[in-house]
Amino acid sequence: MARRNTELLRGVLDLCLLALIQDEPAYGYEMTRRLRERGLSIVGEGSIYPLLGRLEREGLVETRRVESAGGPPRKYYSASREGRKALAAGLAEWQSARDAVDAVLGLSEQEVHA
Amino acid sequence: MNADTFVEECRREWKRLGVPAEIAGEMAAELRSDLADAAADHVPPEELLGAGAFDAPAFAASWASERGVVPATPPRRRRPVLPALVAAAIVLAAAALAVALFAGRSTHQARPATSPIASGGAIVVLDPKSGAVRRLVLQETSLVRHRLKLAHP
Repeated sequence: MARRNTELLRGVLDLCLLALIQDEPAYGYEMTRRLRERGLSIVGEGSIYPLLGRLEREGLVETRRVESAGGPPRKYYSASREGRKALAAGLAEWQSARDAVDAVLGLSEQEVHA
Repeated sequence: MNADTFVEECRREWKRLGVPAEIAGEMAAELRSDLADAAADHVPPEELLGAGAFDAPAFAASWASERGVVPATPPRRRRPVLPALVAAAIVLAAAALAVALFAGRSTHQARPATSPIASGGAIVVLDPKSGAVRRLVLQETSLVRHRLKLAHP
């Protein structure tokens, strides 16, 4: 079960991160916290940092350093215009895939209950 | 896991990989502040770093690679295959020619000096090292195939 969740999350984690920061910028740990609050733990999945690095390299996120009270400056990420486009496209793909999987799994469920 | 130790291990790996110092410093600062926040919330580092929490160099390399800050190494030049094959063929042909010449000369030189093997005779051969002609004297008829004594002519 945990493994399946990990595999499922792996394919859409970039979309989840873009969704988390499209309206409100966040720094790395804050993103992890927001994911956890929504029931998505990345333990065992790896880390969001390499993924954030890729999103940054591809220009899908913008970053800025913000001074923090009593600590080192934090690096905040927000979705760029390209990132929002990528999120919209990825969301459409996800919904299409999810509908297709639902259709197949729904069929299977009917057969089990018959 | 000690956060400072982890960050320092990452820095070492970034330096080893050739990540520019400014970018490595920025990544290290980001990591350090996030780990401090996680510790303040009593969140284990694995929640933030995943399995990378147990392998700092791998984590650091993965992050730098995905971010595209690892200098590209020049691709290895492939050796042309055709010249190598031609060279190998020439070497093989030369070796075969040398063997053929050597065998022909040995046979040619051995024949006149060789008595019938059954009677325990001798074979004259060319020493490939010195180029000198040597005579192999056969000791005993019954051991002709096994015991040869090298005798100087």
